[in-house]
Amino acid sequence: MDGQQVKKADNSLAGDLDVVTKDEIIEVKKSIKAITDIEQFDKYVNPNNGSYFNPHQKKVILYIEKPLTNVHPNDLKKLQKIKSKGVTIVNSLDELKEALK
Amino acid sequence: MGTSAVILTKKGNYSPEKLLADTIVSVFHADATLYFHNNKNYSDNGEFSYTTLNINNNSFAEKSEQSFIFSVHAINSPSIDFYYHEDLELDSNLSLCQIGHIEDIYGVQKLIFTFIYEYLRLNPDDYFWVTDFDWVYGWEDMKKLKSLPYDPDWCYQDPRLIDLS
Repeated sequence: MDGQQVKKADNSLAGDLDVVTKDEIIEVKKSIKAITDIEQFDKYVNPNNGSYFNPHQKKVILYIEKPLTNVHPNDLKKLQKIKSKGVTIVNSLDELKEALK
Repeated sequence: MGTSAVILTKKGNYSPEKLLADTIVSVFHADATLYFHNNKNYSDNGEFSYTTLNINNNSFAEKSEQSFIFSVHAINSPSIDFYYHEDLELDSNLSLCQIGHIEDIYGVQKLIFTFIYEYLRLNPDDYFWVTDFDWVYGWEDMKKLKSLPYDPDWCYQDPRLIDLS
């Protein structure tokens, strides 16, 4: 996916945004397995993070494309940790539509 | 975030300090540029959580054509936990962790290729995993790929199907 690169004032790369709307930042992942870096969400949700770049405090949505079935217990923990950061997790286009309302 | 990638290494071998050192050496041999602001992030209980580096193909004073973020996590970070041995057909007895998270590989495949080639040359028992796929690249795979004309789609292809004939 060709996301939008966000750079800091010193020209270093701060992150890549997949989809940005007026009110939301939507991150897209093919599967739960492809979410490797839980702390990456901090730059969208934690103003104290050194790379924070969500000054308008947009809602952060994680869209996981592959259906979450037979989820490994460690993956459940991973999802809970991401949710606890304030990220809305959706797993279908219908759920995404609901989250965007 | 896009399509991310990580390095898989033996858990007992990992420390953030070793990864930082190996990254510098790999960037040196890859003729790339490294930007390290040493911006440490901490967990809620005040422990070091992770830091990030930028790896570029040009100096930061120039407009870089290729750049990616490379994250270095603490030993106790949940982001280094790896448990997908079965999916990736890796030996389940190997205690592995996922390190050196690359946020998005799109558009930086060539820079990643040269960097990972040098990293795996230093650490030939490690693997490189593009997390959308159920395969990994080892040192032998990178050597085979290096012997062929460069293919920008190298990281989207199963290394077990590399044809040298």
